[in-house]
Amino acid sequence: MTTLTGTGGLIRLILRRDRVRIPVWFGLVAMLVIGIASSVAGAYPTEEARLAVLHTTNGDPTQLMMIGPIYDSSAAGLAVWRVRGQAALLIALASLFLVIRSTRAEEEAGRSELLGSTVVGRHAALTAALTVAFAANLVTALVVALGLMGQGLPARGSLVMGLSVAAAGWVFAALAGLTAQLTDSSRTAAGIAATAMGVLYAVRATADVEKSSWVAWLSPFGWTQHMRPFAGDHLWPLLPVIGLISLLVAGAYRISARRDLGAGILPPRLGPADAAPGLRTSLALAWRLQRGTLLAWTVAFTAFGAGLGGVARSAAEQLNASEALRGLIERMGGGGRPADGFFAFVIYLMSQVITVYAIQATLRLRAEETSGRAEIILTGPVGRLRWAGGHLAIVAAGSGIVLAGLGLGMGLVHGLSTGDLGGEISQLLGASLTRLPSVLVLAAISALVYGLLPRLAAIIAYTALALCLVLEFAVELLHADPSILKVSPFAQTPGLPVAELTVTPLILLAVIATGLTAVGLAALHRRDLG
Amino acid sequence: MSNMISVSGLIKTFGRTRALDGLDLTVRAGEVHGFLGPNGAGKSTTIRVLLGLLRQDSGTARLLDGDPWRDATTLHRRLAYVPGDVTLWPTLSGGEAIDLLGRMRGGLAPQRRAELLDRFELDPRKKGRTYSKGNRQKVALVAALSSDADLLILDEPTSGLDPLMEAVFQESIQEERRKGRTVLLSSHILAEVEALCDRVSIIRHGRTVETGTLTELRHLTSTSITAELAGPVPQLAGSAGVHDLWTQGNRLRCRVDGDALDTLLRELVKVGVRSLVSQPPTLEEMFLRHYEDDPSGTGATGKHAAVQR
Ligand SMILES: Nc1ncnc2c1ncn2[C@@H]1O[C@H](COP(=O)(O)OP(=O)(O)OP(=O)(O)O)[C@@H](O)[C@H]1O
Ligand SMILES: [Mg+2]
Repeated sequence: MTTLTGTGGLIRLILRRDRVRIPVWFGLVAMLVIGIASSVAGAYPTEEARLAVLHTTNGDPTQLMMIGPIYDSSAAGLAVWRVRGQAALLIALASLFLVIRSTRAEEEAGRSELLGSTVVGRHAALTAALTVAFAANLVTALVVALGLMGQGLPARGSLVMGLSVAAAGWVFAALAGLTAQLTDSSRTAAGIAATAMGVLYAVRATADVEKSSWVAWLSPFGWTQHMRPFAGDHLWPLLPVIGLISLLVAGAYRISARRDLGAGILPPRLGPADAAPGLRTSLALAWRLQRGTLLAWTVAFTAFGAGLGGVARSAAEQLNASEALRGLIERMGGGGRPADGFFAFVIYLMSQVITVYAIQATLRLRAEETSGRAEIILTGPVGRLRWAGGHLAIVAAGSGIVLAGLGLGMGLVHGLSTGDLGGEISQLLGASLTRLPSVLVLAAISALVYGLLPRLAAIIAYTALALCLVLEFAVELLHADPSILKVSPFAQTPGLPVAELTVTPLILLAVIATGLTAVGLAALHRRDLG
Repeated sequence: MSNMISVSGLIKTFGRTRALDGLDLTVRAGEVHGFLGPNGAGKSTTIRVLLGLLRQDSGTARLLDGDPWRDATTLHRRLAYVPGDVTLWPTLSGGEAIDLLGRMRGGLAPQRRAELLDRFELDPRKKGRTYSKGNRQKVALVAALSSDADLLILDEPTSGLDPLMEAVFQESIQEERRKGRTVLLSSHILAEVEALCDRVSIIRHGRTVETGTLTELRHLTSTSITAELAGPVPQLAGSAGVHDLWTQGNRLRCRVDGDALDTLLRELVKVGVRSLVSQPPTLEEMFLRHYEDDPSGTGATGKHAAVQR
């Protein structure tokens, strides 16, 4: 088939270009699964301890929502449950970005044009990207299986676990292959695919909280979960996975066959011939560039907050039965209503997810610089500090807006169900917004590395966030001293609405964020650009 | 102020690459100054130092009587820049980008903008990501030309333009020159340089190898001579300034440096000249000589011959 000519060469190109990224992303997933599996056995050595975890977890709506139920009280069953959510989301993201980067992003950059004029068929890029992504997931599955078997776990269960992780990756690789054909922008293509991923994960979460099995079948995350490694070892949920992948891939090829190189099927629209009167400063431009992303995050988290507000009531009822959760609430600062404990916990978790927005928006500076667009602004009468400061001001305000959306959504829906609308909204809005300083510390770290080590900015910034998350694991599973959590800015913030509001840590975090940003800007002021 | 740009002994290294190695450049007020050199010679690097994007390791650079690094923001009010590879914001239309850049400098004349859009046949409603390379270049050109900057810094501004637009560009730059604006124009298009530039600087390996008007540079380069003499060709091989000598009976062909021309002609006239064709160096020959690694011309053979033909 001539449309596939050159696929082999492109595969080699992708493997060469991503020779670090692919092993890091996919290796991380495999390490996560294998590492957690080995530590769970140590953390809960007795059947008794594990049964206790099983009972509290399966009765705890926050856990059901985040990960889902535990199916088996063996150490393996617990380990599978503990990593299921993170592993699936992480490998889905890795596959999604891998495919978009090798298809639409290349096309957008005009490199496909260079290749397309040589002997490369029109489906070659898509085929190469999907091949690499599918293979990377398969290898991850095998590594996971071998790693689990190496710990003496049953072979069949280990393989099913590996496949259930890879299945999530396959589905989202195929989905990304499709969205990459739809629009002419790689950001939009990744955005659509990632949004779909979030929605489908939320569908799974709803199904597990509401214990509704038919809803679970609406989401691929539900399918992979029902493969139940070490607790039945089902392979048949791979059938709907394969069915969906076939549909997505067929769709992608159909569109790829019809559209022009560089174009999507959503037609490009004309813009205005003149700029609106407000578009006259670098700050106005920064707002214009950032507002779409901010809007998407705000809408998503307001909706997510509303969903959390909706389950809070039934969560609260179940919480009364859960001793472990009462322990957690006490750790976060004392009594209060059970619903408050639920909110304190989810706000804590969600603030870390919202930090991804803050980091991404900060790193926009780097994207502007490497693309050469910053140069166009900075060769006008605009100083570097003003240019970067404009973007950072939007990051700070934007993070506050997304957090406010989360609190507002929770307060609105929860308030409607308790009858105290005003009270709930102000309480949950406040609780969300107290998380702003800790989010901004991570944004400030990104600004710092952008100034000092621009090439490593993304890696270091996301690693810092990942470290905060890993500490949580370390405390929970390795029984590390909880005091190590103190280095995480997220653990420094009082866990409202359960804990008392103390202003000192918030001021301290704000000062740290300001200081880090100032050092980053000073470094930017002194270094070469471009 | 007679010099808009004065650079001397500029050095800039990137890791182990020495991009600029003692570069000198002087651009006088009101002139169009051509900035030439082979790929990787350091033209864009020099321009980026002048724009305050890069900081030099040593040497001095003055721009509009200011320090391009320290006074960047104030100096940028008085200059406009067009990069060789323009990237625009994917979601902004070309018109929006032009307005934004103009307004940041304190506003632009709507008439001038409309006239330039018309002249460059640019549709300002298209989004940044849907423009072709040439059209992105035009967006930057319209933004720069519709500003009232004293100094235009153009880094290969026409590398994506079609010949028709190239002509429009040249016409526009001539206009700017008449208005008294100063232009630093880096270019690989020799016809453009010949048509526009008052003076040129040629750089190689981060150093300035030649600077002057085109006439001055021509003089430094050799003329090709074809002659038929009345008698046998005299002994010329080895004479200073004579290269690529070919003789056959009474006929000869050679190249001769500008300052050796007089001596050679005297030798030929002694024998008697039947016919003589003298060809001044073409622009290409002139530049190739400066671009090549051995600028003395003595070792030049194959490539020159190819160009001469
Ligand atoms: N940011 C950078 N990092 C490392 N090396 C660089 C960087 N920018 C330029 N160089 C190197 O400096 C040298 C000069 O490059 P420059 O872009 O100034 O050349 P140029 O004269 O503009 O060439 P061209 O005609 O191809 O545009 C080249 O060897 C280039 O590889
Ligand atoms: Mg250049």
